[in-house]
Amino acid sequence: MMFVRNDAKEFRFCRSKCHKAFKQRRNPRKLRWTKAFRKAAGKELAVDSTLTFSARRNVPVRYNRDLVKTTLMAMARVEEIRRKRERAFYKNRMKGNKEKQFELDKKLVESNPELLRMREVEIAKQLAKAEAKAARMEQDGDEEDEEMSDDEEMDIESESESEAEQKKEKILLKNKRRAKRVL
Amino acid sequence: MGRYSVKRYKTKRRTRDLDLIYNDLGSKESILKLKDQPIDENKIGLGQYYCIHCAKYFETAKAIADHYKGKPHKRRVKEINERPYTPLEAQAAAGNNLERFLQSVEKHKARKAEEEIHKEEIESLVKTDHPKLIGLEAEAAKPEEHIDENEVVME
Repeated sequence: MMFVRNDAKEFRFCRSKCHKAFKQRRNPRKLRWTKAFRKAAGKELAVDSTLTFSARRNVPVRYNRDLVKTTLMAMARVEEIRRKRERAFYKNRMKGNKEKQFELDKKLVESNPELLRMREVEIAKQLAKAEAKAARMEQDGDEEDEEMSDDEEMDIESESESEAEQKKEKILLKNKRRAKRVL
Repeated sequence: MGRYSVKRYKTKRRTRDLDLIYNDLGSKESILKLKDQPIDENKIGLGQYYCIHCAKYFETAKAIADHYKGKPHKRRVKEINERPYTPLEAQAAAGNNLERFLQSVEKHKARKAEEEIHKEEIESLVKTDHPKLIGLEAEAAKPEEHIDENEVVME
């Protein structure tokens, strides 16, 4: 898709999303999903010698077999170097995130000590429930039913444990979000 | 969705882009040319009251003075103070023509530094409806400096 402004300047769009944003006069530097934003905000490698090779040159070059050969070889090599540098840039950007996250988690647990005891409380509750159920079953049925109920009990217990874990995770996640907002 | 919101963004009704306005404000000559337009009965207010930042004609001196005080104009001025977005930046982001883009960034920085020096003069020029009078006053008061500024702009 292309838009030509009345001063003959060309604007090319990769998809209708971009075209619509252009018509609404959005600034690509402020839209988080654009390449322009990511480069301007330092999320990606923006200024590098490997990126300067690709450019429009308005002087035509006479065909030369050797030149083409070396160029093709150089292209692959430049691409390889660029990949490596981007990887290094990304790693450097993400450096220290793990420690930071660990610190945050630690702080969260320290400020909310009940989170550590949450699981014990849950398990105790589940056990009490299961025992009550088993007692009721014993009162109702005869010997055969008792065996069945034992099996069921086991199932219930294992399920209850996993449920408790899930609950704990959910609570943790919620608290994390809250903590971030506060920070 | 109202019709207005659709119509507003039709390319048929496209108003002047920010990078063009940025160029309009680039030199003293272009500002003077836009401010000191010949009387044209096809334009609003005979083409005598033009806000360069908003690329808009006004009917009377009062209308344009009120416009300068308003929020839309101030917002526009803020937007134009930044480096305008051009296709060159998009190309650079995709890994093409990076050097040319970097040059344009340098150019913008140089221009900002120069504008900072002549800030008051530019502001008075942009806000007036009679640029000729200001020019005469300035020449009468400080003729030497005025010549210097012209030279800088020409470069």
